Amino acid sequence: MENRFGFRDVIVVVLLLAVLVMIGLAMVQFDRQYTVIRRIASTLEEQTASQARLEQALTRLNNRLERGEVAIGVATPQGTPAAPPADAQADAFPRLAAAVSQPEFTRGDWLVDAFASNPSKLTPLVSKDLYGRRIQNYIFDNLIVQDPDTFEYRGQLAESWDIEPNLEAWQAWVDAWLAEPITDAEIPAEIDALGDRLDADTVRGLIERMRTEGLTPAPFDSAEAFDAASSALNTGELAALYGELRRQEGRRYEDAIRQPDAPPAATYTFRMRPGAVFSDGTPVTSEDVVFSWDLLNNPAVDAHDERAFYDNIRAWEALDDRTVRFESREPHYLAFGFAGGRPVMPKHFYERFTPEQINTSSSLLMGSGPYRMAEPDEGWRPGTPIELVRNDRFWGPQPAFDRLVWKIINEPVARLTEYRNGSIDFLAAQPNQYQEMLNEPDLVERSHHSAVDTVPSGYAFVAWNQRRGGEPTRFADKRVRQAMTYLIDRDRISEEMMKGYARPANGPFEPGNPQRNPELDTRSLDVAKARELLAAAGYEDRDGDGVIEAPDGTPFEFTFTYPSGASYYDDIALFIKDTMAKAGILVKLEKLEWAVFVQRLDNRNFDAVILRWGGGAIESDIRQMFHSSQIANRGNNFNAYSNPELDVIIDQARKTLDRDERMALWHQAHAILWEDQPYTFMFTQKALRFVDDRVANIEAISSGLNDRVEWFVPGDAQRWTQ
Amino acid sequence: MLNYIVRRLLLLVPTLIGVTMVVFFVMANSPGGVGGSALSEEGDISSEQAIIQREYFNQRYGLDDPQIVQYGRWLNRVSPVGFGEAKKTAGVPVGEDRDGVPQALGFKWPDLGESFQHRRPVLDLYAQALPITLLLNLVTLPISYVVAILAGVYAARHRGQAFDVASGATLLSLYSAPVIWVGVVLIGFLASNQYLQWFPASGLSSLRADEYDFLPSITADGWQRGWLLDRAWHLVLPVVCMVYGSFAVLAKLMRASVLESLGSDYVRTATAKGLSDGDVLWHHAFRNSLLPLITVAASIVPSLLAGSLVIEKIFSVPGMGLLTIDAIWARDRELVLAGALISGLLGLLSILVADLCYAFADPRVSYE
Repeated sequence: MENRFGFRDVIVVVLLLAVLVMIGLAMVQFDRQYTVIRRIASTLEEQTASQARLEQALTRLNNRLERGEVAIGVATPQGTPAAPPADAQADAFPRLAAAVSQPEFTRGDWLVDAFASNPSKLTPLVSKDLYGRRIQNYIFDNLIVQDPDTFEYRGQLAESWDIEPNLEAWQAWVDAWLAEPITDAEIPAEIDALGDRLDADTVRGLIERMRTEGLTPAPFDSAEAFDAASSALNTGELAALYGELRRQEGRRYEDAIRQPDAPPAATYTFRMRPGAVFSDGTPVTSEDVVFSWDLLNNPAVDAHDERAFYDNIRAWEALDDRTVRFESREPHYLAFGFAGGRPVMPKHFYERFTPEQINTSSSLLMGSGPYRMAEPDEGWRPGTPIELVRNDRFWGPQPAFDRLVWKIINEPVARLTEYRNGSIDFLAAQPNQYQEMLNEPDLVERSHHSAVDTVPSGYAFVAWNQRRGGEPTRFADKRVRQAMTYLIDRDRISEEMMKGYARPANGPFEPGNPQRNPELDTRSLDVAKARELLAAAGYEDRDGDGVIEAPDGTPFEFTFTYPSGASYYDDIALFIKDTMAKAGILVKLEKLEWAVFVQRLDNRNFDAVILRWGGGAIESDIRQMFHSSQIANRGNNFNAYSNPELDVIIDQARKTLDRDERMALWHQAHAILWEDQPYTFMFTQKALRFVDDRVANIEAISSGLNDRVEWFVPGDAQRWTQ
Repeated sequence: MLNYIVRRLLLLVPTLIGVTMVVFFVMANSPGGVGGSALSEEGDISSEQAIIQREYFNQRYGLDDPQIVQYGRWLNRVSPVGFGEAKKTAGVPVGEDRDGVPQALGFKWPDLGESFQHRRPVLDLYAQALPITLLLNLVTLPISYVVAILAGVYAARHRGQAFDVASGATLLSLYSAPVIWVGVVLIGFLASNQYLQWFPASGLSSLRADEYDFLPSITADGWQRGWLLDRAWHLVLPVVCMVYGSFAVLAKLMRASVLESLGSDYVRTATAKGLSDGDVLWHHAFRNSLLPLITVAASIVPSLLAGSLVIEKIFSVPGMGLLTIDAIWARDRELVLAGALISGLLGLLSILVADLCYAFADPRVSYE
């Protein structure tokens, strides 16, 4: 038989394949060139615009000179970017200015860090992870910022501000509105607005709500009584019942503050500094501030959660080029920070994109901060390292590093290896890893290492569910919860599992936080005391089997539920099972995948869970976890903890704008939580950091390590030179 | 033949509907529910935002509709024939939807939807992860086939001798070494300055690769490896990890099949004719022994798209494996369904192509 496929054919196939590979490689190379061309084009565009602004300014100046006006001592003409004087820069960026003025301060070099997972987008408003926010910090400026050391507010883009509280008028208006009975027109409107969502659950929620507010809804005196009857009710009957209940409940505070004619609780007026410019040279004006808020509140932009967070700011307007005024809906100590603390986004850049484009973009980043994306319009592709270059037009003191780079390294071993090799300069370690690294002398020698407390740090906790399936559980008795806390040896957990880089917590406020009540101690392991408390609550070993029982003979047993993922949860769960056994309590362990875990929290279907709250605002608002209004509607008070006294204090503290008065209230709240133990507060963790030794000016301050814009590498130690 | 192809192509549709239906309903009824954990990272739960986010999902993706309605809607979206916005659909107008946008029934572009978790179009996410996975697989496959074929042929030829036994044992032990361990060991020894720092520990390019020339060059600062070589250098460790475990199966398959050929009548005839051993092996036995490998090759087309989670995670390479597994954890319905649809489609198509190839390769097979 003749050979159909011979040597010549092989050569042809190989050549064909080679040509295909060449074409592929050529396409890759064109792509690389295209990226460079785009970068050059965007720089050119910026320079043309900047030149045009200069020419206009020159023309104006020329005209004035020709008209015989004297130009000396006249304020800078509108629209001309002029760097603010050094003292204004130092005022806006005092910490950065102090770093720059150090004698050995040198510009240059890169700082390379690593993210543990892959952020999917960096565009402000639509990016949802921590990573996005960290990158945005270097690109955007706010009107005001909280000093990381003193926690005082200071102006960044704003040079001064006015706060006009309007508390009396606001309170009077709200009281008057609430005092009026609900009108017949309002109820049908509300039922209409509910539409399809008006079902038995909604009515049940309403009954629960009325009960927490101290009203006894007729004709059902409990949610359970309603449950028994609800299956028999049709939609019309449900609507009628809803209307009846709403009439009894009267007007609601939440509706009051949303009335368009309600007076503002306070107005905040910010006066902006002259001379601040975005990274393309355009001046920052009040219009950009207003635009940023408009964009946040544009329903087409996918920023639902962030929008809800800033809901208290109800109006914003530009009074002139450099003045913006905000109105708050209700009095709240964070309202000022909310109004001034949002990144200011350049209108001329972001208005080029439709909301849909913004939603699906991965990196639209332009601001007035110390760093910038080399190409602001989609200059970063997800999955590649993130590189910020120094903003040469920055209106404050120029920071040291030429570039801030974040690689993406998923695997802890690879991260450690890269740090060891000097390919990354910064490593955030877990307690075990940190401990091991300290045992390597050469690693320690070429690093700054630090274990620092941070504010806010967040804390781990065990939540004891007080209500399950409509019935109070045994954890509804605060003596039982206190006993649980006495039984969990948090000192040992902090020492052994967290290697001493954690400390036992006694409430939601970490050490160093002014909200923390300094008079409270932290309960240590005390089995005898726990037994005593349990006996007082009626739990004793009645049949001598070593397990304690309730008066009706049921053994004290509960399920400890924890999410999979963090390995130390496994250790803690086993430890708790063991320590509980010493007091005659049986514990079943249940490890759940995150999605399932969250569902169980939402359905309140658990006995005890361990979790961690991340640090939010520096002065945290504990309403979300401990106020009884947060029990219903899948709120975050998932363990059904309710203390009317605490509710009043939390509401009062939120409204109190005077810092000292408010701290006194937080201290009271802390004391109540300490007594009630709705959670067993487990521990707060230290931030464990390794930073390459060549970096100077690293400093531990109240909030943790100082920001990396203040760091620098002295001249001869620089590694990455241009 | 044409008849057969058309019939098989039409059969694709119900099969794909079946595949996606199973995936859809398993996801919808799994504990946690669709979109259930698109909430936060690493055990932190974020405030009241979770509730708002859930409501937004319900409203945007209709997650509170009956499941069958949700599935129908998804099917309509990915189908090239169906209801769609009148502007984007070539067909007959059929009224308006709830928001008053005119609708039409006809041909349209399939839309894979938007990922819950990343809030970006599924297509974009694939466009980002697929080239990386394809690159890794396209480098890996030829290596594993060439090495396995050579080892298999050589072992068959020297059956029972030292090479046969040694290669069998080595390849099997490589096959048994878990990738997750080998990967970490390779990083620890070959990428760390404590031992041999020959290769990079993570990523696909050096930090400054953007500024490199394309090809290796000698500049004023000395030797510069260039973008292409840099990429190849970064690929070494991941490719080693992907390749070493695949030798055993292919080599054993090849060995068995060559042995079978060597024992057959035509080989004896060829040897009797006085042909040299090499001629007999390469011209007579070898080609016939390739048939089982071709059968196996038909099934690798869909697996070209599947990334390896472990390797991607260890070497921080953002490919399909990480994307898919994250989507499953997060119950990211659109992303998982799109994956099932695409790999289902490719799998079915490659089976069809393989069936057609049999007809060409073997005259006894006919589809008339």
